[in-house]
Amino acid sequence: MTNRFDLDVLRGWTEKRDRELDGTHRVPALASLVYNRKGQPLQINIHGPDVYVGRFHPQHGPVDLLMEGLDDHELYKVSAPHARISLGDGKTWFVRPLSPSSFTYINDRLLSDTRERYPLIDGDVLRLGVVPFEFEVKDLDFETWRGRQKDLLLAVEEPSIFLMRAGAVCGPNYVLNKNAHTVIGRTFPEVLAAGHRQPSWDLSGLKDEERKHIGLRHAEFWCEDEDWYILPMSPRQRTYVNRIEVTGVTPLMPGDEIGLGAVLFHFHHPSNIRASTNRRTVELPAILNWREEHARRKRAEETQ
Amino acid sequence: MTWSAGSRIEIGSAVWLIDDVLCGKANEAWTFRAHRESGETVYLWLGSHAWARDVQTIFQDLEPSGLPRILATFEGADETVFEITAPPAGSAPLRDEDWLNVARQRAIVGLQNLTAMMGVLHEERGWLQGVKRREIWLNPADGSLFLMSLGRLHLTRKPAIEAAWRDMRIIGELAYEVFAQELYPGGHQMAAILQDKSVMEGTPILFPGLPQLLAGCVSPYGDLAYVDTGDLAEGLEQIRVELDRPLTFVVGSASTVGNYLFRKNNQDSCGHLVANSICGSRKVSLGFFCVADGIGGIQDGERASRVAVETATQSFARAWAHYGAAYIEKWAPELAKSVAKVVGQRLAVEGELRPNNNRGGTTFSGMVVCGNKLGICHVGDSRIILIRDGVLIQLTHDHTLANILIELGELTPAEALKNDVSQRTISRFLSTSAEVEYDRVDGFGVESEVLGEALTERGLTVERGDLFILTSDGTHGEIDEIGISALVQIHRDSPQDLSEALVQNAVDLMGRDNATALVVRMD
Repeated sequence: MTNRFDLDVLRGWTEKRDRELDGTHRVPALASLVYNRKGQPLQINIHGPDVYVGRFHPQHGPVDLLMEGLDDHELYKVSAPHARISLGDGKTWFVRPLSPSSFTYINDRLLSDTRERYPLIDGDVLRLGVVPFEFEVKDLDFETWRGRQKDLLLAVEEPSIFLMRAGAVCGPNYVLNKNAHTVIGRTFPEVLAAGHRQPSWDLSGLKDEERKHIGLRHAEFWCEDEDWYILPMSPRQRTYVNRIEVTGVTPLMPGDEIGLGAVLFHFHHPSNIRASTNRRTVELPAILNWREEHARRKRAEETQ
Repeated sequence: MTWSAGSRIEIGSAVWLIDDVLCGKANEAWTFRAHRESGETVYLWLGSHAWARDVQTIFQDLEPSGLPRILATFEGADETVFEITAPPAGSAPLRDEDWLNVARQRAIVGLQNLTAMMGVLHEERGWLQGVKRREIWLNPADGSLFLMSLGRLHLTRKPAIEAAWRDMRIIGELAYEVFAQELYPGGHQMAAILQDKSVMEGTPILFPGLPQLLAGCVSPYGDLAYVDTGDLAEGLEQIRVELDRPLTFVVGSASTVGNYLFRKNNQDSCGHLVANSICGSRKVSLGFFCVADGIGGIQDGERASRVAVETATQSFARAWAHYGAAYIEKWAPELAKSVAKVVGQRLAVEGELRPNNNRGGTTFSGMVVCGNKLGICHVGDSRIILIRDGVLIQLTHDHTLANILIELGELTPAEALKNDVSQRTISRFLSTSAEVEYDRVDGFGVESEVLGEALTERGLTVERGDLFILTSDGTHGEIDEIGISALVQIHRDSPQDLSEALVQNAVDLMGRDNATALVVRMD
């Protein structure tokens, strides 16, 4: 966000915005979605081999690829989540439509089965709702990608929390203190909330659409007998572990993915390097709306 | 050598036929309008090699505005010819009657630009050795001035003591004429007039700042004389700010709970903050105006809209204190959006710290006016309407489900008007559960051709007589455009009466919702 007016001045209190949080992705992209929007290309890079794409809805948990920069009516037809894009064997890409009510198309062909994975190749037009994205595969070897991700994680030898974007850890991280409680959140105005301790890791510097669902004191982390725990603290903003919402004290395993609002974090623990570097395959809860699924299939059959 | 219309100039293979001698005489460079053998019209300078060298040195690394640019150079045996750019469209050699008819504000700006151009030449050690009237071209429509000829341009590191004055005196003459509405009486006469205040009594020469300027230009000697173009520019700027009359805001506002059985409290809020200052003769007026329509539980909606209006006016005041009016005037649209962003953030903080008293949120439509620039911020379905020359223009685009469905082609605008549910479902608002993104705060939601050149990315240029109406959906949901226009006709002279009439009419019609109207007239 470029702005000629310093919001700290307008607010009357200062936010600790860490510039690094707004920075570039340290792991190269594997593919990208390009939308030629009113003559301005909007490019959304896919940095991981298995991503959920769509909007964020608190009830459905975070997605990897957050749709942003779209118009209201375009977003209205994007689900939360909308589709899952994954790299099958390190070479072939697949897309699986997830939404029974908002449609997904490849080259104008409706993907009708929400349990099916459809192959996606470079140059295909992947339409999410009403937004046609051109799917571009980057010229990058998967093993190289994996190496970059590993280097980033292994550079830190303590239990820590890594920020993830677009399906991969992207650089910024916070080393957890074994002997103290760590609070992750955003700066808040002392004038309104005197007496509370500001968060240890301040996420005010995240992009606007990421930080909007981060609570002021969002979640607390601590270690007890070598085991790590998380406790959600925000009254409004939600916390997820491996995409399932948690509301009380929850133990963490190495490699767990923690969702704070719309943002995903990777729990890195050096005791289990493999768990840390291989992303756990996390299935979203299955679609339960049978009636809608049935109606949609019927509609799809009629249109074909 | 003397040149006249019809003469032929020949350098190597290049040949021109002179159509018109614009300026020039013996021992000076000439300016012609001519045509090539191919029939194409060109403008030329012709002068000695020494003069041409000076011109080339000057133009080597600068392109001062208000002067022709050199397109091509032709060196002959005795003289050099430059093909130059044509004078700006609409301009013609300065005629006295045209100049006297230029509005004073525009004339001063024209003179400021001419002075700035001289300043650039002087900086490069180029001296014009006096500017003649026939060398200046005027565009009578906008008062802009253009120096078509540089017949006596001379480059020297050691100029005569009066060199700067000789160039600048024309500015004093032209300024005198615009104010006095008569031709300059000559330097001696002018000096005499300036020494006797009784002579000037009752004449337009006594305009603040003007006698000082005339005294600075009338003679190169004495304490008052301008030494360089910087001094002259300051004198002109002083006159410009004296001429300047800023917009003043006449504001009226009204808001009511209405009389519908199921509306027990008024969740609408509106507010404005106006600041005026005169510092160093520079008059500045700026203002912030907003409406907010609360959403949510009975008390929470009222609270959200109140917090929004209070936070917005406070942050506008902070911006004024920190950045000053000149900066805000430059970036009014960005300030408006920043204010909305800060308001959204404050609501989200309230929601996080006191979740039980802060459910829901509020719509928010606000405008920043500074100097003659206006910027708006808009989230939700409240509206900002401009009435200019009797035409009603809605500046905001409602964030409703109905508009989304229209955009998707699932609903026609006519159907949407009937479809109450999608019309009343808002797709964006300032929420207490998550702050709004800066990019999702809208500015102007009006097609650019509706407002033409008045609307740029630096904001809307406001004119005297413009009427702005900020309403919540309780008002514009009941009264259609024709109804609003009719009320504007009746209550044009009193914004307070108009705001009350709008609200009263909305309540009388059906009054299903709280109704609010804030009216600002630019005077």
